[in-house]
Amino acid sequence: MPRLIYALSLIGAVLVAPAALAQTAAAPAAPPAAEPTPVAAAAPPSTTATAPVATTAPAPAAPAPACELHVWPAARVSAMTQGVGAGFGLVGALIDISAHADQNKRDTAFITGTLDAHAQTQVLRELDLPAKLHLPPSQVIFHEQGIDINRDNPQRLSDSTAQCYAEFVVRSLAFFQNVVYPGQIRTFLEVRRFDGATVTVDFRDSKHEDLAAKLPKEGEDTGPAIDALLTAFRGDVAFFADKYARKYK
Amino acid sequence: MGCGRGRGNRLIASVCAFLAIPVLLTLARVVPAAAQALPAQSPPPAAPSPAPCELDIWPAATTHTTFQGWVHAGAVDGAQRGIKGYPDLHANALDTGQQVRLLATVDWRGAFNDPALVVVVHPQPTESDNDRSRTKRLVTEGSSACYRELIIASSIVESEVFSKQSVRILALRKRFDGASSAPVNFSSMSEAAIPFTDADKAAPDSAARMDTAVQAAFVSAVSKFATIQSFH
Repeated sequence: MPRLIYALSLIGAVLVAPAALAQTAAAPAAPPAAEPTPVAAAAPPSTTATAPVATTAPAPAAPAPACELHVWPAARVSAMTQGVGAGFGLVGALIDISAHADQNKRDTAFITGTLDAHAQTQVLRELDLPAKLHLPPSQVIFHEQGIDINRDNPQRLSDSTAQCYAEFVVRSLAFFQNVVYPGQIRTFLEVRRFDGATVTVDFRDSKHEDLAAKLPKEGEDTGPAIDALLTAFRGDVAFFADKYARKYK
Repeated sequence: MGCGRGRGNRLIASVCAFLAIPVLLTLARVVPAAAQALPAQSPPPAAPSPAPCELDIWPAATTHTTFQGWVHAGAVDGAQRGIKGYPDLHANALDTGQQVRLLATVDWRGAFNDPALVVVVHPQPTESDNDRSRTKRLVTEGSSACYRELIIASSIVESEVFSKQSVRILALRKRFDGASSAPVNFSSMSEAAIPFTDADKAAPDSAARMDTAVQAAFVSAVSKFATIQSFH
């Protein structure tokens, strides 16, 4: 009986082992499958080369609207972080400003770079300003450079001679935070409407939004702060436009 | 005490042989697999070497200035717009053409730790509406599977009354690994002080020296970003 068991076990071993070897022989097929990176890397990027490019079909030639809306990006940007020293008079404020000089410089530059003319134009274009402001259909002209607007100046800011003419000016972006308030950005905006050479409406206001992310330090990921600034700017402009539209129906 | 050592103890020997089967099976699985892994790690000599990585770089459209003085403060590009009280911060030393020239001087291969890196500096800024959200490559024709984009989103010369004048850049790196992979983005900013001494200020060619100093700070800031991005 023991011999029988022994013999059976040997036979079993002989029968099963090749099956196991066959499995392991098949297993190497897996590593090449797990190694597609060099293959894919060597392949030409046909996918991207043939990927459809989002293009806008040219619209049928429609007459340009007679009205014009000129838009200027922010001419001024400031950033101020206050510490507790600001509460100790002029000397305390000076010390505080000095202590936060590098941070204020950094934040100012970051906002200037993030909300530059291009980024502001993108946001304002998405908002469809003429519709938001309840203006007649208008040709929107985005200017590249910010402009300082003087309230005493009734002249148009551009050379346009269009009879139906309006201006939308982002006057300033101001960032502020202290030990009590988290970072917030305030957008100062102004709309002027003209009838010929006469200003018929001059509306200016500001709106602030708390930022959903801290402004970054050097070397940190700027992505969340960029999103937060763009969202806040969009919210400020939308709020302002709605307020204007309610006032001048 | 080994299996089957006892004379006539065939029963134990056979049980041992039966128990040995799983061990044999395990060994049979492990050993050939390890043997197979070797050829995969060392490619056959006839196989072509992988294509080198490619780094495409774009300059910023313009260089802005920010200024915080005792009396005047806040206007963006104050001197360029001719606003009184705003000093010339020599932002024109970093126009697009100069940026392209300076970007070509950065040690990209060292920063990316890749001696075979193919570097392309483009002469104009990207025309993409939103480089951060873009998932496609800007260069599709003939670009390597291992492909990186480095975009100078903004370049700023900054001055603050309580701080040193410096150049700051906001930049974005997009890393594409594989022909159809989604990019890995990293955006950050870096700053470098403008190395402009009192001797430079007093020199008759101080304007030219300031241009050189601003450009040196730009290269330094870009080099810093190149190093920072290598950790992400």
